[in-house]
Order: sequence, then C-alpha cells, then structure tokens
Amino acid sequence: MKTNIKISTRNLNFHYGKHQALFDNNLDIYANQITAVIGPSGCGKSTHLRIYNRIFELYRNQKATGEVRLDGKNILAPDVDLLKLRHRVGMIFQKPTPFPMSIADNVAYPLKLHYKLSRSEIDDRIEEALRGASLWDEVKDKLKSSGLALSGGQQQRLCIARALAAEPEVLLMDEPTSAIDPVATLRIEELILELKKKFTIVIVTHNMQQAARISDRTAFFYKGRIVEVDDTTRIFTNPSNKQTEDYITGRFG
Amino acid sequence: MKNHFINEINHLRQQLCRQGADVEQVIRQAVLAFQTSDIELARRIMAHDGIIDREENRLEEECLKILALYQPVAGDLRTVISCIKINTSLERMADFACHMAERAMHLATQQLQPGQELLDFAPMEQLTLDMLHDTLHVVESCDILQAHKVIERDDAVDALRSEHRTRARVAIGFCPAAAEYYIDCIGLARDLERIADLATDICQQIIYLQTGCITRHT
Repeated sequence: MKTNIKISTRNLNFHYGKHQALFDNNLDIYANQITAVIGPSGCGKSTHLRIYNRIFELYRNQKATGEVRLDGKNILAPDVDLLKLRHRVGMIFQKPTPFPMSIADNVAYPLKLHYKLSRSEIDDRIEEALRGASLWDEVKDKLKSSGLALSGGQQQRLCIARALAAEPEVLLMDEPTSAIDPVATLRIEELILELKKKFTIVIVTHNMQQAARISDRTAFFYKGRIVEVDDTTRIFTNPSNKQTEDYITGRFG
Repeated sequence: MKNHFINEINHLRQQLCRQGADVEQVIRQAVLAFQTSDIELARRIMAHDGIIDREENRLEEECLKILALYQPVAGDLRTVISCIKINTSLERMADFACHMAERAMHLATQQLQPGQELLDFAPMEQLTLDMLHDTLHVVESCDILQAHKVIERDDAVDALRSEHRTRARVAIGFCPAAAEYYIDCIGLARDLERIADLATDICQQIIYLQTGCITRHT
C-alpha cells in the first residue's frame, strides 16, 4: 500500500544537557496510519515523540538536532510558530490531564485559544469532539460537572476530545492507556482505530499486545537508536532483527 | 515467568518429537504388516490409533493453553502454530497406517490366484520411510537445508504411486481373479504417497518456523 509520509525524521539527535538520549533517528510516519513506538524503559521512545511538537522545549537544557519534517517542512527550524505547531500536532499523555474545570470548558479551551467562534458554534464543536472521543453519551447530561469527577478512562477520553477539538493533523499518544483498567483500555483502542481515518497517530506503548492490536507500523527503539521499523504484522510474526525478537518475546537482558 | 514460558515451549517440542517417534514406529509396523499379511500386528496398530488420537488432542490443548496464557509473538508464535499443524499432520499419518493395517487384514483373507503377479513395493516403502525418518529429524533439528532435501524427494514418491497404479490396472486385466489384491495395492500406494505428502507439509512448516515464509503452494 502506497501511503503519504506525514512526518519524516532525519538524523535526529537529542541531548538532555550533556547526556545524549537519541542517536541518528530516521523514521517515516505515514499519514492516516497508526505508528507504534516500542522499547524498554529509557530507550528514548517518549523523548522521540516529544520532539514532534517541540514540547521538550518547555524544559531547560534539552536540545534536538537534525530534521523533523512535517509535510516536508522542518519543524525544528527556529522560525516555526510553536502555538501553530502544537495546534497541528496534539498530544495525549500517560496520565489523564483534564483541566480543573467543567467537561464542556475542558473541550472548549482549545476552541477559544485557536478559533473565534460564537457560543452556539462552540457548543456544536464540543458535542462533535465528545462524540469523536466516544464520550458524548456518557456526559451529555452533565457537561457542567467537573472533568476531574470522571473515571480514569473517561478522563482520558475527555483529554482526547480536547485534543480533537483543536482539529490537529497528528495525534501523539504517550502511553495513553497505562493508567487505565483493561475495559477502558479496549474502548480507547477502539477509539484510536476510529481516529486514524482522520488523523495520523503515533503511540508510545509498553503494552506489546496493544501495539500489535492497533498499529499499522511498529518502530523498536533501544538505547536511543531505532533498531527496526516495519509493518506491525511483520514485526510480531517475523522481525528481521534479533534484538527486536528478543524484546518482543520477553527474552531481553 | 520468562523462563517458565521457555520451559513450556521446549516441553511442547519434546512431546511433539515423542509423538513423531510413535507415529514413525506405527507406520514401520504397518508396512511390515502389509508385507507379511500379519493380522495380529495389524490389529495392534489399529488399537494403538486411539492412543495417538488422544495424544494429538492433549498436544493441541497444550498449544491452546500457551496461546491463551502467554500470547506468544514472533519466533515463539511460529513455534506454537507450527506445533499445532505438525501435530495434525502426524495424527493423519497414523490414520494412513491404520488404512494400511486394514488392507493387510483384508489381504490375509485372500488366496493367491494362478497367474497373479505380486507388485514390488519395497522401493516405495523404503523411500517413504526414509522421508518420514528424515522429516522427524528435521522437526527436532529445525534444519531447513535438510527440510528442502526431504521435500525434493516427494516427486519420486508421487511417480512411484502412479507407476504402481498403472501396473495394478494392467495386472487386473491379466488376472481379474486377483482384482481385490490389486485394489489393495492401489490403496497402499496411495497411503504411502499421502504419508510422503504429509512429511513434505511438516518440512514446509519447519521452513516457515525458521524463516517466517510460507512456502506451500509456491
């Protein structure tokens, strides 16, 4: 299947102060596909993900060099508008991070930040985003309640709704289900599969079965390097690299 | 947990090899029973089939348990899937041994007719038994070079089957009174050829296990 490249990473290196965390990463992320990033703790997978919307720049002494091209344009260039970049590349974190405000206001937040909309337009977009995140039916009668009062799985879907409201092109997910029970996890996985029709998704996960279930392509990271990238089916049935095989079959270390 | 899983996989492979050895023994005996029209041996072979069937079920349950409990991937997944398929092939081989035993019992009731020519199955029996023996060695060693060598011999067994079928048909024309014998011969040739086919399937399965490439129908 021929697909368009949405994000193309070339010779990407990353330093936390003097410590180099990523080494010459080259990775293509295809549009409207789910790419899973797997690897042992500390291998650099989250670090890699956090470069795609330059969220690492919120911290001091962190530096990325090389190129990350989003639709062909290097997002590491100094003239890039970070607000616009993060508008195009949304992020979902490991722990649900609803803002301490109502469910409706959580979803309205990016709408007010990025768009000038009327009250009724905002209400429509809130509903659309909550439906997109498969949360609407559960919260439609309590939109004014606090987002913090929802269950863990619902909170995570609220965060997905908030990310969707901004109408991003890419969704980065950093272990989005690791703090959620198995039933809620399956719901979010179903949702992620639905979302790939509209978005390009990159998901970091420790859960190998999750990567196998939902992703189209899988990249295996080890010690800051990309060891193998291939179709997920191939990675989980017949990986080319011995380190990949050892990791996914639990023979690592 | 990791070691426990590796032990389970190793144990599964050992049990599969043991089942293979049992099936080989039964097929050797079936060939002998046909050659000698040994009714007693034929009965023992047929009685033993139940044991092989039960072992097939047990091995399959073992594989399903490993799939459900450990959700293996990559080489481990290919191992379990291959065990399931090889297990089925072995049991079917044993079924052909039973067919041969039935034919041996039938032959024992037949009289030699005037002008009846006995067909020489020794080369086909030897080729099939050698293929089977080497196949079981491939299952143990996972040696894909040897697997390819076994597969190459399948055509020779196919050719011998058609040769025997043609000779049996012609012989029926010359000696219609011995038709029952020749029909058994056609059946025996088919049984041996099917055993060789299943040996080929098993070798192809080992190639898949080692390389991840499905070579059947190519």
